Amino acid sequence: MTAQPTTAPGAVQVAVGEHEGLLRMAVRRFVRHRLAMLGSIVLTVIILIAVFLPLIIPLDPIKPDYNNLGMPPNAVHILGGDLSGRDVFARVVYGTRISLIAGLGAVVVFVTIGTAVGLIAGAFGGIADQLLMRFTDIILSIPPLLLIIVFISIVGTGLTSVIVVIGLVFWPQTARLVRGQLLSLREAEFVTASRVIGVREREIVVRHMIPNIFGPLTVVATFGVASAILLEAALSFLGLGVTPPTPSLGGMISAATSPSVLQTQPWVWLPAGIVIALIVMSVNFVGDGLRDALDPRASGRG
Amino acid sequence: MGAYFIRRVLIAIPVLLGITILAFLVVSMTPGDPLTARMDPETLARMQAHPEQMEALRRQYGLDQPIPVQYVKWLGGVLQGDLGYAISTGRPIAAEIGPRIGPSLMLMLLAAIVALAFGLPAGILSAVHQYGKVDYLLSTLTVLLISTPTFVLGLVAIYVFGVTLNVLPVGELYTIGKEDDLLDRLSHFVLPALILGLVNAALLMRYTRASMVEALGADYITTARSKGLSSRVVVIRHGLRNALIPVITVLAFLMPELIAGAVVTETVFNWPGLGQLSIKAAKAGDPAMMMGIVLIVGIAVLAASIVADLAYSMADPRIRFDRGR
Repeated sequence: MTAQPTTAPGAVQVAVGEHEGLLRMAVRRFVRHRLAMLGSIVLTVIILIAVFLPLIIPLDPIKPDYNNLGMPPNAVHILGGDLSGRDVFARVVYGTRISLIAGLGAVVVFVTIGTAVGLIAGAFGGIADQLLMRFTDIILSIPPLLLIIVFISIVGTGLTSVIVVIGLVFWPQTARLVRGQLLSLREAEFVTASRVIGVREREIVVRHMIPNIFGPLTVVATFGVASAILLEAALSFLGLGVTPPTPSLGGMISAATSPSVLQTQPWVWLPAGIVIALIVMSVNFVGDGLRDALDPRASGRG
Repeated sequence: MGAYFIRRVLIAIPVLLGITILAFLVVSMTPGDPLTARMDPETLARMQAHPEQMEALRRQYGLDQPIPVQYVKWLGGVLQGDLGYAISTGRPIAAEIGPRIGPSLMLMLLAAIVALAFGLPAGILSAVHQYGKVDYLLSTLTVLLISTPTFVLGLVAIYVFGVTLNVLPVGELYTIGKEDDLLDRLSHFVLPALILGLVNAALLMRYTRASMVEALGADYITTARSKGLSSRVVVIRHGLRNALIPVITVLAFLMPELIAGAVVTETVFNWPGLGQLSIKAAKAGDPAMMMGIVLIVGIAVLAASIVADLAYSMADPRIRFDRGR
């Protein structure tokens, strides 16, 4: 899990002026964040490679080449071969695809569930709120990785299971955030002011409340991508993630649990490890930048 | 104080019951027959020829009862320390889990000490030199630690210290034949505790820095500075004291993080703890064992959060006991 100093639950940014102007301000703040820009560039390059390179040059991550069994990097296989003679570079490229799909997929699942639960709890209040919040307490008191392992042992391994299971375990933070924002926004002065000057309730929700929830939600989702990518890698490393022979960065690294690979064949696992770290670091930088841009109140704190 | 403690424990009970219900429901929804799923085909064929033996086994594991009855019976057993039998090994689950609590707890305790020893000073240093070179260096290091998977860090550590330099053991609790050698046991703790500790130190550093930056921006700090107090006194007496209060809660939040890290670290270092057991149970498709581990861990996390709340209320006199938080 990627931790970021959380915004105080009561913190609400007050919308000043037109929404369009806010967006432009946010973009300007983001562009000025040097590490966030660096992260965006690295991430863009990695995504472009992962998506388009296999379309341009032939890369086969699964077919073994028996002249390439555990071979060090060479002219044909620029990152060498793994223990089954498969091209390490091709596996890293395809593994990156899997990582990105898992990260984005899991975030879509947990942001959807979390937002729905948070909105229901925050909007209805009362017993529904109490029950849902106790339920999130229960989920939050079990370490995510452990809960994920339990679910995986039930639904089985595979990319889809990994995405769904990570999504099923990660929604409580989002639910709390959305509920907290909703509750504090309802009491916020500018909302009361809008009500006083006779703005319709629907208008208040659409123009004032949703844009204010959207910012923090984007930040949480971004850091969520980093967490989900790390989790997918950990699960595949532990043999509970993406099913072989589908290439996965975490799975490639598990080869290094064999002492001979660890001692003499770093090309088999090290590239995958470096790529995961690069992706996650870039996403974290982008998240930092987004937080500074969209959540200016919290920017001094991270 | 006493009343506050009792109320805090009472609030935890429904959550604890919820954990047991959740664990039980999830596990009983497992598709397939938990009895036959683990048998090799030969045994299965033999057993299917003798349905009465199957029934006997089913009764022995209590699988013939409806789910609510199974839950109540299971919970009753749990309260007496009986977690049932592991289907994958046939041994009592309590006997599988029991000997693994010690190694896991010890590893986590040492890792927590490492996290505190590195994370707190780093966070304070970073905050005091905010946007300076030290801050930049420490923050970069932190992001690096947080972004690299724990198992990659562990493998690199094994490669450097265990293989290349060959100065530290890279797995297990002790060297075979040296069971009573305290020094040997300690040396086996170094790498796993350091890796698990450093990852958590990075998280702790981020929180400490944020908390400290906020504390140092407060009006009373400006007052203290303008009174002419030395910056040391200002940082430690006025800043740190106030910054540490939220950090106490963060320590409890780190607990699940520590456990998740332990699952991976124990696998990398072949450490006979609960984390390793949970992976074994998951791979063997043994939901009953998973349930037992989740229960133990859930209780530990709840207990940690109660302790943190109490510590928080003792550290911050502004929190009143007569009002539930």
